[in-house]
Amino acid sequence: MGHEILTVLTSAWANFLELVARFLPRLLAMLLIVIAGWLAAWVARAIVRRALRIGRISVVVEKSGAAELLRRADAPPLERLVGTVVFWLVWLGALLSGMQAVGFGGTESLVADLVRFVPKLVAATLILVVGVAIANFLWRATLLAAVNARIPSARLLGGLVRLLALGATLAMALEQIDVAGQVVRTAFTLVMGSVMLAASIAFGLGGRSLARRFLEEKILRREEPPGDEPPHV
Amino acid sequence: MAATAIAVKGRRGPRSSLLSDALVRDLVATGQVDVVVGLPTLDNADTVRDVVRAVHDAFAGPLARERTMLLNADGGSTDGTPGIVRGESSDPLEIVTAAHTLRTVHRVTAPHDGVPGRGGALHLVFAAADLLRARVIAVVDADATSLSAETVSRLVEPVLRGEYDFVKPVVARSPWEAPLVTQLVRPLMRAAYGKRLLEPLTTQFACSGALATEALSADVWDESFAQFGLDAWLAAVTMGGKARIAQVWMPAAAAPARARRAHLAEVFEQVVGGVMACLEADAGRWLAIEGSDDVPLLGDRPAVPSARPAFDVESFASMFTQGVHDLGPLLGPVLGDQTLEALTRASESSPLHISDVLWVSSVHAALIALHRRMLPRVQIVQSMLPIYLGRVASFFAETASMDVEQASMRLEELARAFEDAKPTLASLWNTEPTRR
Repeated sequence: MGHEILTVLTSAWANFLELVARFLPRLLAMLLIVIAGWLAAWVARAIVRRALRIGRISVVVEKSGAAELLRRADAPPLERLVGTVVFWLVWLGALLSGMQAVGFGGTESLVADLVRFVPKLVAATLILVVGVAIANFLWRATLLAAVNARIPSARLLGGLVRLLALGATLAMALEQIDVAGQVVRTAFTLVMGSVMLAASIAFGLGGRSLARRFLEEKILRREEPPGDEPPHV
Repeated sequence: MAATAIAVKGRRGPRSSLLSDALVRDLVATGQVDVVVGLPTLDNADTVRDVVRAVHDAFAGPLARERTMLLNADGGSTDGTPGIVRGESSDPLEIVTAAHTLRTVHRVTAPHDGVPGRGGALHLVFAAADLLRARVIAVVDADATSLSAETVSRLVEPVLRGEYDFVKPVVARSPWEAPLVTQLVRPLMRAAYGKRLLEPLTTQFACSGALATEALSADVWDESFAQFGLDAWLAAVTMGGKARIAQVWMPAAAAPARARRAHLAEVFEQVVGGVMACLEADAGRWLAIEGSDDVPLLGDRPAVPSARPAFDVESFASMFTQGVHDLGPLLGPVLGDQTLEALTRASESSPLHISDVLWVSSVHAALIALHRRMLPRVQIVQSMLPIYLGRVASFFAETASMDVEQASMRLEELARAFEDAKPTLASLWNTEPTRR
């Protein structure tokens, strides 16, 4: 009886030791992958930040108006933001690879998904940056034209134009990373359609004479003289 | 004439794209001339006859001993202007008509007192004059109906005698007329180039052949501001160089017909955009200049009129107030928080008062913003329009009880304020911006 117990215990201990012997290298490999991944992520972040600084991306971002948006959202400057995103992407990849090395099931598909997601994320980021730049340009152009044409509520008009452009940008960026694509598309179509319909009705009912004058000026080239104001030059 | 003389220095495209074969044939048939009078036109049938007659009278009278030619650079008139110009000539060799391509073919309203495609027209006149080895090139406006043989001669003679290289006409105007010139362009360019040129924007002038050849070699003809800012650029490079400049008194010109005048927003964009682009491109030349010198005034000075143009200054003031309020988020980065705060305080004051110092710092801040490419040029210039209108309203309010002499003194003080602030502008110009 005692002998049998000893045999079972010895066998169990041997199995345990064998398991440990089989698991330890994997654990060590995982630790190595994670540590190396962290180092790689740290280096990648430093390289990206430095490259962006050398490429004077902050000037471009400042001009595009994206920097102002980031400041308003209490987000860090774009160089730091992109660096951090790169760091987490690389380290997340390393963590998943480490888990795969240990033998956790299902991590292969996670790694593959991550690899597929990175280009989409880059594209979505580019869409956001360009879209914000365009939205700000349109906002400024509308605001300046409205103020100099003495149109009341110039700020509201400029704000609406920017909001629409930012909405379109956000919809495109979200669709790029497959986040609630259908919902975003439908919402955007509804909002855009409503605004256009409202604008058409308002213009048609309230601005018939303006529309007529505009069309006469553009199509028949009948320009409105600048009034009786004396010349400024 | 040697074929090598045809090459236009510094031009990117081939000469053939500028002077057509037919035009070169006409020019070669004309032979070498002393005086070329350039006449840029675009639908000027109503007024061009008087101008051509005045030029012909000058050719037949005071300039009879010189070999002369009138070159009509037409921008594509549809009202028979070139035919009228040719019809007024008794000698077919004396007039050459050339069509030049307008870059802005869709635009038919004249920008301020010039014509669209003016850069192309001047380029053509200079290139033709270079080919003809002209000693003097004069450019006259197609709507300058007050022109006479005597005034054409007054413009041309100082250059023909070799006393000056560049002569600009100047008319006696009250201190309240042409506020865009008196409040902005004149003092800004005076402080920049150190020359007290009264009318830097006039589109009529006479210059030496050497100066025209030098201008041809400059790489500006394809720049965007060449279409409307070329006269300012020409004045600027002449002031910044070693050319001898003079101003000649002329009789007051009639204001262009209402239909030919552009809206203020357009005029402002073209004039201020042109001047600022020109200053940006030419910074290496003017940044180091200090103080200013008089530019000789030739002829008898006419009496300065005391008329106050009927500007709607109340609407200017309200547009300034609305503009500062609505454009606040946009003006902040351009002007800086301190200047914007001062403008906001001014917009709340009654009566509206924008001091010389505040106006100068606003203009300089816009220039710096343009230099640092903080916003597209057109948007920086557009954002200045409400501030300009506020400044005009402020000047009119301040000088309401002043006479011509006192108001003229105020303009002189403004010009000095621009000069006094120039060292600060120069140091900001050469400083890298600090980012938040």
